[in-house]
Amino acid sequence: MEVGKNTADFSLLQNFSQSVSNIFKHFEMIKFLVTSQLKQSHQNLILGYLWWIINPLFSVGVYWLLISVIFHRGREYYPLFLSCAILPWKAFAVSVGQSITCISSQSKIIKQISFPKSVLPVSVVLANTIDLLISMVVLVAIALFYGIIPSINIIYLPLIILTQVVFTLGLSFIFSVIGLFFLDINNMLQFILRVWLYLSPSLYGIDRIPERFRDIFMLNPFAPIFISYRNVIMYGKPPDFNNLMLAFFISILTLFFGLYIFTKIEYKMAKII
Amino acid sequence: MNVIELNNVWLKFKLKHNRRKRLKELILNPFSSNGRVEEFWALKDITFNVEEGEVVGIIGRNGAGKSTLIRVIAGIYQPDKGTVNIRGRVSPLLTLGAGFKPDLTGRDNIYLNGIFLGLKEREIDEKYHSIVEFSELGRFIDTPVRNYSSGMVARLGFSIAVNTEPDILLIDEVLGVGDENFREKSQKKMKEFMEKAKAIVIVTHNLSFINEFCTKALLIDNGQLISMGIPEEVISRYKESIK
Repeated sequence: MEVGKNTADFSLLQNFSQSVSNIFKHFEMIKFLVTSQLKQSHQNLILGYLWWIINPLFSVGVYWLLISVIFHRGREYYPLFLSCAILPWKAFAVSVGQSITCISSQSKIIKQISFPKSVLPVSVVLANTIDLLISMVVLVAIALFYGIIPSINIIYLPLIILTQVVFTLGLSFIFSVIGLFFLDINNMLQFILRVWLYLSPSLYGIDRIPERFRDIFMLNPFAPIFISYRNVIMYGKPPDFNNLMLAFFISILTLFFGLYIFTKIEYKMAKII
Repeated sequence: MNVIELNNVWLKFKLKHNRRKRLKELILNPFSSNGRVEEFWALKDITFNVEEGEVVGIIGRNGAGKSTLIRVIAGIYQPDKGTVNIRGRVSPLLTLGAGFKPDLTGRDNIYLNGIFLGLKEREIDEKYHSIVEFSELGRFIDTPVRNYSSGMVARLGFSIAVNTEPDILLIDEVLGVGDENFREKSQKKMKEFMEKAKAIVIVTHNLSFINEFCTKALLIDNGQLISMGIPEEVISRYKESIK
């Protein structure tokens, strides 16, 4: 290991580019962290994934019962409509939730070996991306159950997934730093996530939002992300390209900001935890 | 040639009484200064070199800064002032098996720990058998580590670290691992290793070990380098100071 000049007064730009290249250099470390996380959470492979899927499907069932059956406010294929938002959301919420403890839960190894800490949030997000991909298979399966056969527009699915993963990664970097300083941030985060889900077109469609508010509404990356998932999986339409590009742009900005604050604090982490 | 160079290294810790606080406190009491921020210099102006072939022992009383110093050499802590230059692959043997995941098998942990110690997957494939053999874990290697005894964990941790064939080995009080048989084996391995490695830095309270094996000793007290030189002289100085 070349530690080289090991001073704290590195220029920030140098630090920044170094941590980006470190992520790529430590590809194998990330690979093993991801597989070990998956092995730990899904010990029994089939049962593990089954639980991952059952949990959000249960939420779908509750919303469907409440809105469709009791309030008679649902729409066509409402369970599928809900699932297109709730399943991807679960991958996002779990990633951000796990990122809060991803540094402090590795405190032993951080105090034993020097390695770039940025691999930790990256591994958390990638492990949950596997779950996200599996939930996509489930969504297509539900669509087939309703007799909806995916159109050619399904090829745009990776684009939507990429946008979501970039955004998740950015927020996970941010929350892994916040989690270092505030032990009870998880309580707050769960509340924020709940409100955020309801402010996104998860239970309802964009048509419920008055025309003049839609531009602001679309600044939330999950608005175009949910709409686009539905377009390609349910309606056989292409994604909402304009707003999805906007979401991608916001996600990239979030990622840069997240990396920036992470890099600023990274060399101090061994002392803080 | 110097394989380790420390030039005027200073390292401080911030002793906030509640450094990691709760959001609740921030909301209820946003303007509180959250306690005094005490600064504590754990290392003060440490300068020394380790040349190729040297075995350096660090001694000093508890809390003197020995473990902090070895963590600075390992690159875990970055100095607040001064520079650290390391040439070669460092393998820190600080707490054995500290990074192990209890739910994973010994096999998975060998790979995970090996990667963290700077090996490539391919290199671990090659060394896998000698690691398992040295650890004497046998068929337990496919059992989750949570079922291991503490001796088994330490043996596995030791086996991984010495089999990484580092250029520089850093050891913090982990020599007395396992039973008599394994201890003998690990001491033999250490001697073998000393012949191959570029340098070893060791923190221990075992003064006779330092006298016997080290080429140089460092006495640390209160974060400062008090004395450095021939083990025998440094040890007698240390014995005087604790009287």
